[in-house]
Amino acid sequence: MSPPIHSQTLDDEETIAASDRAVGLLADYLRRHPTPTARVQLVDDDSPDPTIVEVPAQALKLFIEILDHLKDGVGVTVVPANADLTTQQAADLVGVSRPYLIDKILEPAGPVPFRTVGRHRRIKFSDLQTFLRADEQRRKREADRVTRIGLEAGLDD
Amino acid sequence: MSFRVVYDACAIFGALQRSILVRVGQRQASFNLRVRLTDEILGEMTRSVQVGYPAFSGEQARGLRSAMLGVIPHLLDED
Repeated sequence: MSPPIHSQTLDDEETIAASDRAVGLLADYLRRHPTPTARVQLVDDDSPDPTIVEVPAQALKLFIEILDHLKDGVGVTVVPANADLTTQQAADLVGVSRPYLIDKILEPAGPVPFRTVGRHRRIKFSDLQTFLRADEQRRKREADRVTRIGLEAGLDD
Repeated sequence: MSFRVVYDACAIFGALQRSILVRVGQRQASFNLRVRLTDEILGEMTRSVQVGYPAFSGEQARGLRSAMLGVIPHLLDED
């Protein structure tokens, strides 16, 4: 079974503003208290007793990173590093359709290996990540080339 | 759920706006977009650029076309 993959995007001003404030406060706190765990206090307005939770500082750092993207309106997906993805999940992460993933990105036509479980294909997240990083570099080079050609030609419209 | 976007030729005619839209296309997954191009649109764009700027060579036009398709998938490749 594939693990669930959670995706989230913020689109209202209130939660984006809250994320923005939280990033600053949490990052500042971790800088001043470099301990392995941090205690987080959750306050319920209707109850006098706050809930105190001890969490690893490493997890809090990840949480800050998530908030940092969310406040910029960038969607975040949490994927366990050892996850086996379905073709649909992999296609969503790459931002292409499932047929395109299968025809162009998975072996043998493309670079990403997969294994089959019964009749289903499963893709290792780490393999997909390797592809995504290389593809990101390639796309950046091509985008730079678009800009360069525009400049070369002196098209300063 | 992502938004399907097609850049029409007039939007990618000017070098500056083209460069900006290509940067958006470069990060389309983060923006929850599926940006696509077609042969007709790329052809119209490069022809118009060559008319507007006669110094723009056929080689530059081909380079621009392949670089754009290197960043933004062709509509028909995809679905």
